[in-house]
Parts: sequence; structure tokens; C-alpha cells
Amino acid sequence: MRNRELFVRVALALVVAVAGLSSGCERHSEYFGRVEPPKENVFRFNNGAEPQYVDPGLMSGQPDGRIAQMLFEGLMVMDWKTLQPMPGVAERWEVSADGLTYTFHLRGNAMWSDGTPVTANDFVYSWTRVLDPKTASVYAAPLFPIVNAEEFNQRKLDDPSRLGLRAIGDHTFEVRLRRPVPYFLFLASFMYCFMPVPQAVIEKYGMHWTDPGNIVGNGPFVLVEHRINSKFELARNPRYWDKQRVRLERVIAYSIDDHSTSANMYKAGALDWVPSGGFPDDYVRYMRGRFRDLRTMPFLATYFYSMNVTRPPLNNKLVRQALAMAIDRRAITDDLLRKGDIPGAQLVAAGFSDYHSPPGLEYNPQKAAELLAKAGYPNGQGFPSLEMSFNTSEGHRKIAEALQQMWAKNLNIRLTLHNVDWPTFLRNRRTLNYDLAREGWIADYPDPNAFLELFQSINPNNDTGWKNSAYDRLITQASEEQDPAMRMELLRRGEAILLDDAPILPIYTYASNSLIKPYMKGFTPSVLDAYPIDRLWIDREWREREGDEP
Amino acid sequence: MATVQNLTIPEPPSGASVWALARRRMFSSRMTVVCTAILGIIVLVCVLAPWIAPYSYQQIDLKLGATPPSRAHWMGTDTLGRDLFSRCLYGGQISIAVGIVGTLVSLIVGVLYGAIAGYAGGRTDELMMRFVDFLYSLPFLFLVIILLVFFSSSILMLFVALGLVQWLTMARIVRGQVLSLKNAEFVQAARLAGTRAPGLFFRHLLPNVLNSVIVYGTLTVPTVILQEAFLSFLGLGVQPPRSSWGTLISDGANVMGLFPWLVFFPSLMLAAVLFSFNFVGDGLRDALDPRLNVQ
Amino acid sequence: MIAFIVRRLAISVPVMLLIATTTFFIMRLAPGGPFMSERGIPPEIQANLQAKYGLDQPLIVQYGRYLRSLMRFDLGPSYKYPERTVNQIIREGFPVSLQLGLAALIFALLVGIPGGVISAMKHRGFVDHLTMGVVLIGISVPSFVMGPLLVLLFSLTLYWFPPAMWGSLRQMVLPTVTLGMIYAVYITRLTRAEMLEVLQQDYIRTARAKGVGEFRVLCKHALSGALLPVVSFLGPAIADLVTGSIVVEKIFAIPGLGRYFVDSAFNRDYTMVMGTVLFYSVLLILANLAVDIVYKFMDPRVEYK
Repeated sequence: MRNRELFVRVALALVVAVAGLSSGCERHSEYFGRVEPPKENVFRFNNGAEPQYVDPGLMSGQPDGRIAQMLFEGLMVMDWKTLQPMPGVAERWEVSADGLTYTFHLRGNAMWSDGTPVTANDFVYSWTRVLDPKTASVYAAPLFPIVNAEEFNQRKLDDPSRLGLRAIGDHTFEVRLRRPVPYFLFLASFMYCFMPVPQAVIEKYGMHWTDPGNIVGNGPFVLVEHRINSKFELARNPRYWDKQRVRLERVIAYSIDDHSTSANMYKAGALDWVPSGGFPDDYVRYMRGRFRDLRTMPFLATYFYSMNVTRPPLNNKLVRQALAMAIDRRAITDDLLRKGDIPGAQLVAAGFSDYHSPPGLEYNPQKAAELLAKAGYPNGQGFPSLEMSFNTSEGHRKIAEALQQMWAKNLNIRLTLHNVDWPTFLRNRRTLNYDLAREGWIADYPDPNAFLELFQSINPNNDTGWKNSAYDRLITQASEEQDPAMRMELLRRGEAILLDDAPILPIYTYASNSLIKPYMKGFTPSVLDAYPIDRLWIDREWREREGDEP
Repeated sequence: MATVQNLTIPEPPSGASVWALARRRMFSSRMTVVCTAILGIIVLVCVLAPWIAPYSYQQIDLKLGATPPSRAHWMGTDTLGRDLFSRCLYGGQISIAVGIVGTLVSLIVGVLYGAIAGYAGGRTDELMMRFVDFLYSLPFLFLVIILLVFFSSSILMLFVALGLVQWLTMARIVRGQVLSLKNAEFVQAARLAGTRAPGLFFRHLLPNVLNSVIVYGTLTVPTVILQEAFLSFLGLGVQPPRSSWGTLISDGANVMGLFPWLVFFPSLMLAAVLFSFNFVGDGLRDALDPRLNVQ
Repeated sequence: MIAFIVRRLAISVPVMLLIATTTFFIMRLAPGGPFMSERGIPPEIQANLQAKYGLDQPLIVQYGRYLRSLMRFDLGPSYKYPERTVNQIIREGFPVSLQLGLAALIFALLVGIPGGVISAMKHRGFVDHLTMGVVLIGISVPSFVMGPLLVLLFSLTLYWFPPAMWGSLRQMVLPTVTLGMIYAVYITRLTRAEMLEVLQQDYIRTARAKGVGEFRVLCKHALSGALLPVVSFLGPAIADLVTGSIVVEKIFAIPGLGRYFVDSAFNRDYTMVMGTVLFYSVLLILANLAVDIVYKFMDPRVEYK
């Protein structure tokens, strides 16, 4: 029959085509896909999921932050490489000897994109707005060290003029804290909720002040177009005080949440940068050592499992220690994940130059088995069936399966896997409705405290039921300590208690893996997985300069 | 998504030889024979997967990773080093099972509903069919999506949800036939002889609507398989470590820029089965539908 | 005719109310809420949030409020993207989905009708067999297989078309073909079957006998009769088009409405789920109505009670 022959022929042709394609992928090249720079002076990247907010006072996600960084400028900006606060709207600042009063001196030429000057009052307004309970900002808590801030946010105080914020003239902004916070400058330069927002525009447009056409900013770029779930288009801000620094004419931030589409766009040369997590992990594994587009950096974030210490047998410290010591972390990072993650039995991510974590419970299967026997379960006998919860994802599943195998092999106990969708997972974790649950934490600011404050009894993110007064005391003490070395020592002692008591099973410090076209320059490596978009530029002669430092 | 074509309503068959006739007519088309054979082989191989598959479907070999088709792995291996051929077979089991069970659910609900409506007639019929019309006007698949998202998709949920999407057309077909058969002489005769409603239905009406039920059923199976794959592609279908053709395609599409065979082979299997089912369904329709017998 | 339209629209009001009510309550039964986030939110801040969106009120009060605003066609703010209202999101996304759907439909008609006609004319010839072969393959290759394969070939290997996004003509090609293929195939098959039947009819023979040119016979006499089933196919096809657009919009990162069906449910974005379900229900009702009306114009034999 003709039909059948045709069918066979079409099928054959397809097989040949696929074979050709797959061999095409093997073709040796230093870079992935097309490497032609865009014709215009425009930088195109995939910002990931559609940002929830453009309003810096309300946002919390990384995609939101990348947009905010371009549209707004805080008192200080973070130098992503050195992790030091650099002058932004403030030219300089002083801290009083007791660490309670911060005085910021604002530059005279800082301007909103509508031409009005940026003044100290703008900061008083913006910070007050974030704290206002009617604003209902999720990220009000970083401002709580300010005098009366917490009371105001929790409706225990109605008068915002009693907050520790004061404008002295147009160019001096004074902040009073209730207690010294050694990392306050980090917070203020890193977190979006400290950015200024334009009072007049917000009062005029309400919730819709961030629509293109309404929005006014003070950052290096202005918003030209925003199409939801598609893209943000930005252009150089001609009124920015340091506009000479900005070399890009335009920036297009796509909102593509599908990872493989994002990788395809990059390969086809339609994207110049795909930030970490924006393309499938399989690409990372495949591209490592093959393509120079892939940049791997340690990242201030930790992957760990939480244990519900209110449930037997996990209320027994020996059981928790046994579980921790039966994990071969290197096998997970090096054989299973192969993404450059750094194995570690510590909560604080590797990568701080001035902080060194205590050793933690390293892999030791014999010791682990002994501990389990001491806890009353020799060779795993009588050990109840526990559940490991994770939100549905192939990556989390793989790690969970690996842990399951290790515990079966080293301790002869059998845990079951339980995957649920994200909202259910979060609710279960919050309400302590789990045995073991997967967790990841990204530092809010570059300080070990960003990790260690998590497990204080009162912290809303402490989902373990673990409470330890000695730990609480040490972390609080550290946050009031003015001497940096002493502060690190206090934190270190705190972490030692946490790791020994083991309410959590740290597994690794994340690596960030991003794709950067070779002609994009100015990507200084950063453990915060953040890059100064306002300092990037396109090098059209990159081929001649191959081999130089980026 | 396949849309059901207007099915013709066969006359009540006039004797046992109809089946023989149908079989002869069906197998007179060589293409139909070929498709039946393809279908048979794929189904058989999938069902016998535990004995035929060269590897276990979840045996991970991380050192190996994704490799293109070779002699050891006919369809290559996926990113975890699992044998794709074996996974396709086990995935086929799930896909085909979902297709058949989903169809059965739709047949049972649809036949009962349609038969009751058609048999009762009058007001009840009017009311019941209005309800079907109403359901038709709903964005049904969206409700299924919402249900699956909100109440995590288990495989049981999937069966029920997919079956429930499909039963409406079945109900309409059966109702129409029962309505017209109800007044046929042999039914009237049985009724006069004192046969009660259930007996009447199972002994006299059901066998006569069986043809269209079979034809429509055959055409529903690929639709359900397709919808399962569609839901799996959106991440709502079968959950890992189980996999269906839909999830295999979805996973393969994620890395197609690197390992195109991972999307190609499951797609090929799915397409071959859908193709065969549609072809056999069409063949069955031609064979069992005496109205077309003049050609 | 007018009475028929009015009656159909009148029936749809309680239908919409029922859909709204069912969706509203099903949603609230689901675990989790719109303001769950990875970061623990202190209970006081959580309370601020709930109060801001009225989620601290009893369910029945929320339902009443929702219905009231629905009367004004106000679908409320999206909980996931609070800077935007649901109306705004639909206003922005729907035209894109509509473009995609129309483009696919036009593609399907442009390919399907000539394909069916030619195939019918060369009945049992090589072209016919070829067309029917393609048709059968086309039916068996769903859009989520077709899409990735097209991207693989035309975007990642040949670099002819961009692999994603929507706007320029070049960006529209692959999504349109992906979505339209299955309809093109169905229309081809339908047109062919009807043409075969129509060409047997007496009036065609008469026309031919009278010496009317073959082209005229085909276009004027045969085709108009053969298109009727194509039109009635379009009704359910529009519903399927919507479903298909979910997949195609996902594959090609097209900022249409389709994605919200899945995403908003995942995000527990209550207002957005309600908005999309209601909007599409209205759309389906109108589309079916439109098809019925067109059908009436094309075939005067159809009567409306």
C-alpha cells in the first residue's frame, strides 16, 4: 500500500533528521549556540518568573529585585564583588560611637526621573510607608531595628512621627536604632525595602503608580514598557546623577518562567544572559567543562533538611545526629548533582572571608550506626517509618532518593518519600505537620547572621519546633556586639550549638550557574548571584580580546 | 484534541452473521490490518514490559548520563542514565491503562445515563439532556485542571477526571439510540411478554447499542491517552517516579536542545498508538456501520 | 432569530452564576492561600495582608462582596500580582491569545479547505493518498509534540525562526503552525469527505452537463455545500483552541491568557482563577452562539424554536 510506504518513509526521514541533530549538538564549540552580539546597544536577559511587584517597598523575589535595582537607587548601593556598601544617593555617612545613630549626607544632584530632587524627606516617607500596616509589606521586618518601627507596624503605635527617622534639611537623613545592628548598612544597601519611592506619584495613582507612564524612579534606568509575563523594557535615565557610568542604551528583561524555553532562547542568540536557576539543571551538568558561557560561583545559600523535633523519634538528639552523620554529602554534590555545589555539614553558607563555621557532623557511617543503637534502635530495629517531604520537583526528588538510600544502607532504616505541591508543602512545614522536610535558605544580606537568626525561637522561619535558650542568647548577644571579631566568635559558638543539637541536616552550599554570552562584559563574580546591570557593556571586538579577564 | 465526529446510528443488526461480515469488511483493508498489528504489538510489549524491558525503569546510572541510541540502549538513555526504551514500555503501560480505564469510566457513566434518559423519555429525558447540554457549555478541562492542581493529582483522580470529561458524548449517543429502539417491534414484544425494565434494557436494548458503544469507545481511548499526556505536559498528570508517555515527552522537551532523542522516541510511540487507534476506530466504524455497506 | 439569541443569553446568566459559585467555593477548600511564601511572614504582617484584601472576613461575606463587584464587571485585584487588576491582565493577555487563535484558525482554513478539495478531486490518486497520509499523521501528533519538534528543527538547528516570544511575524510562524496543524488536518478530512459526497449529487452533474467550468462548479456549487460541516466543526474547535493555546503559550512563552489557567490555580490567586474561568465561559457561550447563527445563515433548513 502506498500509505504504508509513505508512513515508513516519513518515519525514516524523521529518524535521520534526529540523528543529524544530535550529532550537531556534539559539534565542538567553545560557546553554546549563536554568539552574535545584538545590533543595537541593547542588553537582553531572562529575568525569570514575572515579578510580583515593581514597587520596591513590597517586593521580595529576585526577579523583582533586578528590576528595582535598575529603576531605583537607595542611600547606598552594594558592590557585588567586595560586598561593601558604596555611595548611592548618600555621598557619605557617619555612625555614632554607640552604633545607634546613623547620619546620611545626600548628594545634591540626585534627581527623580521627573526632574524633582531626591531629598531626605523621600526616605522618611518611603521607610515609613513600608512600616505602615496599611501598606501590608511582607518585608517590613528588616526595618524593625529602627526606634518604634515594630510597634508602628503592629498597630501598637499610631503616630509615625515617633519613628526614629528624621530629615534635617533636604540633604541630611538621620536614623535612630533601638539597639545596635552591626550589619545595618548591609541591610540598607542590599534590601529593596530601603529604596526610596516617589511620594507624589504614589499619592496620585495608588496601587497603579508602577504602571509604565506613571512610574517615576531615581535609578540608572527608566521603565519604557511592561508587558505582563513577557518583558520589561528599560532605557538609560538621562536624569540619573551618574549617567556617564551607564553604557547600555536599553535593557530588555524578559519574563520567561519556562526553563527550557529560556535555554532555547539563549542558544538561538536571543538572550545575552540567563541568571542562575533560569535554565534546566541538565544544561548545567552538560555544559560544565564544555562551554565557556557557563559561569559557576559559590552562592550564599544553603540546602538542608529540617526535622520536626516535636515528634518521636526525632525529639531524640542521638537519632538526629545519627541521621546527620549517615549522609555522604560529597556523593550528592559531586556524583548526583554535578552543578558545582559545595558539600557542607554547616548551616552558614561557605564563602564568607571573615567567618569560619564549626566542623559540624561530618559523614561517619560507623559513628552514625553507634549513635542510632545508643538511641535504642540497634541496626535500625524498631525504627518507625518516617516521611521525607519535599515540594514536587525532579531535583528535590533525586536528593531525597539519595538520602533515602544512604540511610537505608548506613543505618538500615527505611524512610518514605512524600512530595506535595508548593502551597501545601509550605503550610505543612509552617504547622509542623511533617517529619523531615526539605528547605533552602538564601541570605538576605551578606552576613552569617542572615542564616543563624533563622533558628532563634521567635523567628517565624524556624519550622523545626527547636528552641534553645543558650543559642538564642548567643545570637542576640552577637547582634549587639560592636567588635567584628568578637561578633563572629559569638555567632560561631551559636552555630556549634545548633549543629551539635542537629534540628537540621545541612547538605550543601549552593553554587550559582549562569549563562553569559562572551561579548557581555562587566559581570564581576559575586557570591550574592547579583550583577551590576548599570555597569555592563557589549564588547563587539570580544573575539580579538579572547583570553583577557572579563 | 480529537473532536468526536457525528456518529451515524446503525440499524439494529439482523442476525449473527453481522459480526462475521464486519470482521471480513474490516480486514479487507490492509492498512487497518497493519494498524491493528502495530497496536497489538505495542500494547503487548508494554503489558509484558516486566519481562521484555532490558532494564528496570528506574535503574539510575549517573556516570552514564544521557547517551544517544546505541546497541545497548536502543532509544538511548535519559539524563539520569535510565534506559529510555524500558521507560517507554513502562510509560506505555500507564498511558494505555489510563486510556482504557478512563474510557471505561466514561462508558459506564455515559451508557447508564443515556439509557436511563432515553428509556424514561418525556420530562425526565428532557431534564437529563438539558443537564448534559449545560455541562457541554462548561470549560470542562479547566475545571479538571483546577481540581488536579488544588487536590494534588493522584492516578485515581486522573482516571475519574478524564472519564468524566468524556461521558457526555457517549450519553447523547446511547440516549438517541435507545429512544429510537424503544419503539422497535422486538422490544415492544418483549415488553408485552412481561419483561421488566432492567431485563429489557440488558437483554434487548444494550446488545443493540453495543456497536456504537464499541466504535465510540475505540475512538475515546486515544482521546483519553492524549488528554492524559496533555495534563502530564502541564505537570498535572502522572507524578514521578511513575511516568507515562506524556511525562516522558514533557521531560524530553525540557532538554531537547541537548538530547533530542529523549523527546523523539516517546513522541513516536505516542503518535504510533494514537494513529493506530484512530485508524482502527475508523475501520471499526466502517465495518460495524451497515449504512455504509453499499460502498 | 432575535428571540432565539435573547433566550440563549438569558439561560447563560444562571449558568454563569453557578460556575462562579462552584469555582469560588472549590477554591477555598484547597490547602494553602495566596500569601504563602517561602519566607516565614510574622503573624502580625500576615494579619495586615489578610486585612488589606478582606480575606479576614467570613467566607460568605467574601462571596457576597465578590458577586457585588462582579455585577460591575470588576474582577478585583490579582492576589499574585497586586499591582494589577484581573481586568487589566485579561485586557492585556486576551488579545494575544485571540491573535494566536485566529492566526491558527486562518492557517487551518487556508491549508485545510484547498487540501480537502484537491484531495477530493484527485480521489484515490497519489495526491489524495499523500494528503490522507499527512492527515493521519497530523491527527496523531499533538501540539506538545509538534511544538518542540518544530523548535528543534527551525529554531535551534536552522536558526530560521525565533524559538519563543510573540509579536513580530517571524515569531508568529511556529506557534501558529503548532496550534493550527490539528485543525488544518480535521478540516482537510471534513472537506474531502463532504466534497466526495457533494460531487455525486445531481445538481453538480447537472451543472457539469450544462458546461459550467470545472473551477466554477467546485467553488460555487460544490464547496458551498461542503462547508457546512466545517462551520459546525468550528464551534467545539474554538473550545479546543483555548485548551491548545495553554500548551502552545507555554512552549513559546507567549504572554496570552492560557497560562493563567494553570498558573493562577497553582498560585492560589483566587481572583485570577475566577476571572479566567468566568471569562472563558462567556467566551465559549458566545462562540457557540455565533456558530449557531452562522449555521443558520448558511443553511436555511435549520429551524430555531
